[in-house]
Amino acid sequence: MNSTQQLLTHSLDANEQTLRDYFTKTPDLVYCHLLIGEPKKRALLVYLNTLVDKNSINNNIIDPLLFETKQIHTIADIQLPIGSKSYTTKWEHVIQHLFQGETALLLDGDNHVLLLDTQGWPQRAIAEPQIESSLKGSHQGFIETCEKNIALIRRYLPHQQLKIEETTVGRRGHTPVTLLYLEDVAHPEVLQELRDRIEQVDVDTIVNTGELMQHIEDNPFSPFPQFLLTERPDAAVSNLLQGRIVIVVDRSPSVMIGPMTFITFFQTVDDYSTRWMIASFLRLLRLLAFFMAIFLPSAYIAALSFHYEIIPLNLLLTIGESRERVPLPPLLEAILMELAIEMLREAGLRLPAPIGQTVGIVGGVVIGQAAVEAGIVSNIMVVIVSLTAIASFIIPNPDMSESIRLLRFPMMIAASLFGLVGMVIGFMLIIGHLISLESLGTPEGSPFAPARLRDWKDTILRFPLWMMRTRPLSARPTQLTRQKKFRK
Amino acid sequence: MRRHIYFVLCFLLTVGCGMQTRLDELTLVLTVGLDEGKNGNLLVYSVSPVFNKEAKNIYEVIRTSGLTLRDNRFKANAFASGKMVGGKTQSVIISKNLAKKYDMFSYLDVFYRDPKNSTTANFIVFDGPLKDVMYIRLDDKPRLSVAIRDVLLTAHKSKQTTKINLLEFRRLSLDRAQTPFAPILRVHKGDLIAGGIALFNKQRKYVGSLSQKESPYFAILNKNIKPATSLTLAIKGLTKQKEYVSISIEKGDFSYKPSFQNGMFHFDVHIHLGAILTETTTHIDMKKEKKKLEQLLAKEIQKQLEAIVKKMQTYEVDPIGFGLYARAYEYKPFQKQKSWPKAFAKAEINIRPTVEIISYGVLQ
Repeated sequence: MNSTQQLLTHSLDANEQTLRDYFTKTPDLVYCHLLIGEPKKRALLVYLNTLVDKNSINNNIIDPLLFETKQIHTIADIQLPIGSKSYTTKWEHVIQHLFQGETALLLDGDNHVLLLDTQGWPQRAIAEPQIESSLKGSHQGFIETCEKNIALIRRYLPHQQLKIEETTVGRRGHTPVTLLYLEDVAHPEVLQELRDRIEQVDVDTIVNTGELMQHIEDNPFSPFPQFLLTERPDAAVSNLLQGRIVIVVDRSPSVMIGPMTFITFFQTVDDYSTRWMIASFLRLLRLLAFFMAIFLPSAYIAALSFHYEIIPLNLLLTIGESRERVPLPPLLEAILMELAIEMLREAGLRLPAPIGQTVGIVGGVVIGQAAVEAGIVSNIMVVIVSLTAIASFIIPNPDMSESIRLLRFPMMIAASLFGLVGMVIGFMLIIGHLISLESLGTPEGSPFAPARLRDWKDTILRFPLWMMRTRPLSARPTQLTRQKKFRK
Repeated sequence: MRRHIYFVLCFLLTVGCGMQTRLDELTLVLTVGLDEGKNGNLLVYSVSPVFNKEAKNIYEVIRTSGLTLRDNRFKANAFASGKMVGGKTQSVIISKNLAKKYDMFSYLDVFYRDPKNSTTANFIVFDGPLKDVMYIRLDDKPRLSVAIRDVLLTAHKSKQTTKINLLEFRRLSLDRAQTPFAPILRVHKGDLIAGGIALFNKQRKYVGSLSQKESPYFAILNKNIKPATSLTLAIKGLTKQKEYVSISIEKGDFSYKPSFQNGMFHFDVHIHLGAILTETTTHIDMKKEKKKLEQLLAKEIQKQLEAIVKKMQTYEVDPIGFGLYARAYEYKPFQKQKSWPKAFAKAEINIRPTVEIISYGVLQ
């Protein structure tokens, strides 16, 4: 539309007509005609009443304007009790700000518009994070409003080095995307890389953070996530302090963090608030769960299809008895059960809680009891599938957990074709891929590949906090020292 | 990424489903029995588990008669419900009669040569015809193969017998300085019993045995007293009559000192045993009589040890491995011997055990 490129005129009627031409079939756009000042002067208040805080408009704009007794010459003479305001003469700005819930005040005989911050759209209260709940961490999670999310982060880092850069993505949606980083820690090259990638995104709109992540990630063919999506402000802050960049996307309750390393997907905020021995034990548990979730069903298939010798005799006899009536080869048996449990999980995920329980019961009975009694699968297989499912739920990051669940299936096929050799080949491919994977141009395999022994303090084990005096090198921080040596 | 796909595709081309050995399609031979058949043939029993609720027995025994083990496997495959495999073989049992007549290696070759066979199977000598054990009815025990293994391992732990696997048997057989041995299994009134030790000569033929009672002393000489070796000894000299004293030997220090004098090997064996007094039939004042008791015990143990060494010398076998010490310390004379067991038979062996009672229980 051409008119958006144009400037306002001095005539209020002409301006109103331009607006009405532009906003056709927009019933929620309110035109409020006012006479203000002594002598009376015509003014027009315009706002989208679905996006504004009506109390604020009534009390802070209309009320003072009605009782204005001064003479109003230009729009700059109007004094209103609203902190955030700006002037413009461009239609483009007016329209953009109207869509963001601001109120435009036009005065007859003035080509300037006063834009007042009266935003007030429907939003959720800050609540406990749903996906990443924590025992000891904060119970505030991000919500769908960018400003609130930034506020949650700022509360942890009241420091002038926390820089915030705003930009928008999407031609229609104009989704506000905000970059947060510590200027004296984050590496400028990594930051510039991220800026460039976001700038190149040319889409209608970004509905969710996950969409932006897929547009800017390094390797879209990798099964592993390269950015961390979190709904926890404390997790975001701890990553900021390691020199990483937090990307807050408006209208989405999860923020994106990059560059990440593989091992960080196995860490939680609770790790740092529990004592180091317990935290280290939990880390080992998660690593074990990682291997179990990928390899347990394939090890079962490999052992039963090729290497019966590696099973101890008593277990072999138990498995033999358990599989006595099973008509399926191990691969089919395993895939059948794994698919069943994946379906159960997916069904339970999307259903409302009361029906979800029914799914759980039906699934539990079907998988646990009936399938074994009917002789379709063996008891051992049920145990293995359950263990695998539990192991994949232990992994704290949902994205990583999902990619591991996916990897299980090619591993199972490899094991049924080549036995242990196939498993080893699959494992080598995963390792090789992880080593070559990058996140925002930094190695995702760090600190294992490239090996940086100093950073291993916070990987498989979590060393005591007072020993972790430097920031990990993976995000290429420009300032390494994290804390002084204050304890012997 | 594309390169990864090519990799995977290349691997897919090498798939050979015929290589699969699916557990459901196998007959696992858990116990192999070798006996003497008619006309010099070899009688082979293969015991394998049956996983079928409709089958009456939980294991099957296949008996075949043939020239060698592989010939028998060929014949047995005609009976078996799945491909017979020996990867989980737990025990290889040979009958005493077979062991007396033939060199065992001529039959066991396939176990060592074919890598698909298990070499850690226990090697056992059965006292009697093998059909006694293969068709035994064990209603209160698990599958026969598991029962045999469990009986053997329990008896070995309490030093009723010993334990040797096929690989160790081969090593002892081929070592110039040693001769092999094996545990003995027998059936007594419908029960499996493991006890005693079969002794083989250099030609790997059965020559004699040590009884169940002598087995703990064999274990002591073999430095194998862990976890504990329990002995009940008849002691004279404590009181006017014969008294029984039970001890449990917890630890031992051993020293074997070989020497070569006057064309003859000498061995000075010092064994210091730390024992717990577990039972006596008379009251002993430990404060006063501890030294005396220790000496009496040592004397009795010495008698028993000398007896089994004598026995081994008459059989011309050296399962303990005195030859290893001779070879290590007196290499030149050892090298000159044509046959170590013959030289061992002539050797003079002084055994000096000492006993230290480290604990005598919670009674005074």
